[in-house]
Amino acid sequence: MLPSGRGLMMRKFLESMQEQKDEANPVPPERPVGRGRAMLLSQTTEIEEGVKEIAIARPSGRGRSLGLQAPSVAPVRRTMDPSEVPPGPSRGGSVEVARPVGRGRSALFAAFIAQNQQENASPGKSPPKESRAEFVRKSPSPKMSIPYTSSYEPEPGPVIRKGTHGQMQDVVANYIKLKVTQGKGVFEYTVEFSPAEDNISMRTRMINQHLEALGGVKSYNGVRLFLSIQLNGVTSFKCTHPVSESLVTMTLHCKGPGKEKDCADIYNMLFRRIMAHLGLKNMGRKFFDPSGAINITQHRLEVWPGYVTAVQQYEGGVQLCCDASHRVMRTDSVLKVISILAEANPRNYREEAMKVALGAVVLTRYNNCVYRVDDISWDRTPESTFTNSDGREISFQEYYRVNYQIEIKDKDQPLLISRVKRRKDPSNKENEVRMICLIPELCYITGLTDAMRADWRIMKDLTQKLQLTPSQRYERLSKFLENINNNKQSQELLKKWGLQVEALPVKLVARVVKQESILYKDGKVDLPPGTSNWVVNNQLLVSKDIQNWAILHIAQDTKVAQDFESNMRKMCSQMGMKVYPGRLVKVSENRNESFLDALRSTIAPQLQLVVIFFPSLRSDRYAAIKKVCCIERPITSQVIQSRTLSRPEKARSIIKKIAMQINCKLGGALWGLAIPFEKLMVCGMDVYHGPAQKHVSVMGFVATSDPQQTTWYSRVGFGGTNQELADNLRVCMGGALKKYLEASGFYPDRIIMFRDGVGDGQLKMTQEFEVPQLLQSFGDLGLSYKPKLTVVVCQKRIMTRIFSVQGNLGCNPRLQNPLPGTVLDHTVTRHDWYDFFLVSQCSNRGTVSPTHYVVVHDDGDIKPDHVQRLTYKMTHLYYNWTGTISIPAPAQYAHRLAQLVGQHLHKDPSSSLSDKLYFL
Amino acid sequence: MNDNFVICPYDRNHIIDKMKLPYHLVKCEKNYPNIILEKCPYNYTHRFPAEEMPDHILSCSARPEEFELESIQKKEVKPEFEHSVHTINPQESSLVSNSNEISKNGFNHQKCIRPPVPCPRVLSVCGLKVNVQY
Repeated sequence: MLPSGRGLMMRKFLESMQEQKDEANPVPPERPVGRGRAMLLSQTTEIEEGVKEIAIARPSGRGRSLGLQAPSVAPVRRTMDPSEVPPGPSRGGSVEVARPVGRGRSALFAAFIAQNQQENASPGKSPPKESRAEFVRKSPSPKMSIPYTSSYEPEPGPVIRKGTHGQMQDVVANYIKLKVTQGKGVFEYTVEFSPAEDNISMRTRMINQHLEALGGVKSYNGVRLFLSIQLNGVTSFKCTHPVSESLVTMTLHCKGPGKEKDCADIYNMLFRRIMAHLGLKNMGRKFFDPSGAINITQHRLEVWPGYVTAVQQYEGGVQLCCDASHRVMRTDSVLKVISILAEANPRNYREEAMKVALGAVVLTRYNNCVYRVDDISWDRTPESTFTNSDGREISFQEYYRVNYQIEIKDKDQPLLISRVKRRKDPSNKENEVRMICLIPELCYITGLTDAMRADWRIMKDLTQKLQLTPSQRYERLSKFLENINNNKQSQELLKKWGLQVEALPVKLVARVVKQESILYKDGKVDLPPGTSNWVVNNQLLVSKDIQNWAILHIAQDTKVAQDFESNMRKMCSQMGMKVYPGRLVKVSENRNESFLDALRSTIAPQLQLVVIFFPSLRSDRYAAIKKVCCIERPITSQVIQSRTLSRPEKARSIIKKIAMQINCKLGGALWGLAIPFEKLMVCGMDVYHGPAQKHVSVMGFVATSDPQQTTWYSRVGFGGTNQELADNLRVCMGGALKKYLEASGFYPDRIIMFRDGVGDGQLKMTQEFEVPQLLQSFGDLGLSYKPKLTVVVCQKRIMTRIFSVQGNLGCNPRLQNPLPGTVLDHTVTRHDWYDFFLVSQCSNRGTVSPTHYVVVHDDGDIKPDHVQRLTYKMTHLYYNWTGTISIPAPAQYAHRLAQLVGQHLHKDPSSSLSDKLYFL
Repeated sequence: MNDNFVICPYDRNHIIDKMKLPYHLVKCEKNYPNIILEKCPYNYTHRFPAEEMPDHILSCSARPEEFELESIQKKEVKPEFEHSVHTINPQESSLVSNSNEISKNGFNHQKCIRPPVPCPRVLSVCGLKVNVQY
């Protein structure tokens, strides 16, 4: 391109100036573009060794010319003695090369002034220009024996907190070590261009011109460049500007080996590309294999096997975590689904089709994209037209023929409409909403409908395919590794980064902690190893007598209610509860109002408990009744679906469970454990997020109020939409401490909090936003009160799987689910956190998934062993299940509480219930 | 602009999405070490200078019902303009709802009323009696 207009004149003027200035070094002829370009070119010649430019803010446009006229703002250049200056650019921190960028006349003018200033500052000095060789590597000077610049800091070591207690157990985890071949790796560089280039894509294209010399692969985000090879010191390259074709000098400064975190990012991208080479389709974060689809023809379903992978920095270095996953697809297109509906009900099939389609997530197989259906447009057909990206009117039929080579068969089908929200401009928070039309013939509904989920036959067939035993899962994993190592393209990709994927997952040694003993009022029961469930045959630890209670039922449930009343009296005496005859109250009609009227007239001050029989499960009635029993007239309530007691052979065991639940709701305790600390308080916290339209999140908080950990205090807090972080913990903790003092006569000196529902990205915020609130609440009790606080985050939905190895660790080991109580706290745990994995529950089908615990705050002197064992103990104390559960009981109680309030109550429950487990 | 935006108590130029407020406060607290704001005992995102906190506690929307404020003698108050900008309750002052409360120069007049003589008072914070010092 040729310059034109005033820019050309100005450029010529500048060139003539330059020729006068450095006659010894003629400027190579260059071709500028436009006005601003001329200015940029004038700067080309100014890259000199030994000349520093102090970083300044970069004004642009007219303002810039003004700024430059003031000498204080103008780029100050001073000549330094060459011996003082290291050959690389000094990275002292404050000094940074910033080239003025301007546009238009003012920029030119500014450049002109700046040049004159330089001439004054360094008269007659014209340092030698670099030779015009394509590839110049400067020889490192003796001072540069370390090729890295001063800002290079070695990475901090991993946080290792290991326990020692328990029996050793060989396990395999689904992590794969990534080995780097000698002389390769990830090296970080900064890149400078002169003249400066602002456009990232231009910069990338110029780097690509030398990709061969840079090792063949790169990762560049516009600021930092990562290469697989190490170039010592400073390296310069001559590039051709992709648009102006002018000469640009690119200088690379090696900052040292890339941090492990950066490596993980690069490897993650690398594995995404490998997945594509292996023929896997990307859906969200997972990759699925359409060719391996398993058909379940009787239900017209398809299961796509897939993988989910993540490369992360762990204690044992950068590793690949990989798990097998599935996705359920319907094999019928949306068109077929609609036509089936139309056949069955030709009159108002449209209404039914809307019910099915609205909110459904559909997959379009031509591009494997997923969309949410928001509407059906019945008045449009594939022959309707739309304006495409070129601004041309085109029919859908033609569009699919041209772009995807798909011929739409049914010309009369309606179109599906999907609203796609996209943030157009990052500064503008309002999302741009676009309507996208989809062809039903080409769309396939993904996932299961509620009707399918309720159908046990479908679910049975599906779980057979979806649940993988440990050895099946291990097989899938090894096959994936085999595929990577056998695929030529992926091997090439890996080789470029010098990466080797090991053929087998890591083998580790985990520990199985000692089994607990369950304490009852009349003795203790030792749990045999390997079991996680037990049967309550003893007297309950703290039993509550039921003296005054009522049963509400409708006429048809009279017999069930009578049987329940008599059975309760019989069975509760075995468990140590005294139950007096209850009053049966007949509800006149099977209507919500009748139930509420009967309930209100029954609740009296002396009444302890009200049991309500529901003929069928209705959430609106449940919510109405719970609102009365938890807010309006606080009382312990138990809702029972009459159908559950309809089978007499099962009724006994169910009534026993209900009796235990009632005992808890009245403030009793079923069993206990030996607690090693004297004045301990355990807290749990979870947040319930309602559906998106409701705009409310409910935080549930529970805490024990006695050292035996049998009584529970609870509170709720309300937050905005999807607000995960609690802001009223000070009130909650203050209330819990007050309750503890009331119940036990002293404050706890050790507090352990289990926090559920925190993702990886929010760990830091839990530490910096929630923990200070807890610490403040201690301060409210006086400066001298400083209990030791430990905050543990529980994460249930994780990719990690652990398989225990039976027999020897051969190439084909026999794998099983690890025993409850298995702890893994090294190698595959996080690099920056004090964390561990614990398997507490027992799973008979499929693979058990361990729970990840991260200790985000710990100012106690508790050993990792103690935290791990206490966590395991806490999984025994959930009174709605006679066994261990996958998360500690406090977190599960908090979850139940938040769920009850978020789904049904929507309001603060009465504080008179706060010391009971009314939410079970 | 709608109700989802609040003003950062550390820098009134920061207009923050309500959902992101906790993240922002953690950041701003670090970036403005010379601005020391008290945190409301009922909501950690309510932040005010120490002298305004008692007044905020009286009017805090997040105060649970059971925490009645005890033994507070309301002294005669003298209106005084506080030339501080860190007086905006981030939770309650969305730009729209507060437009009548904040005058043109951005100072919040209503919130700046404080008793003339500083004296310690006993407040019930979190249900516990706490001495609040001016």
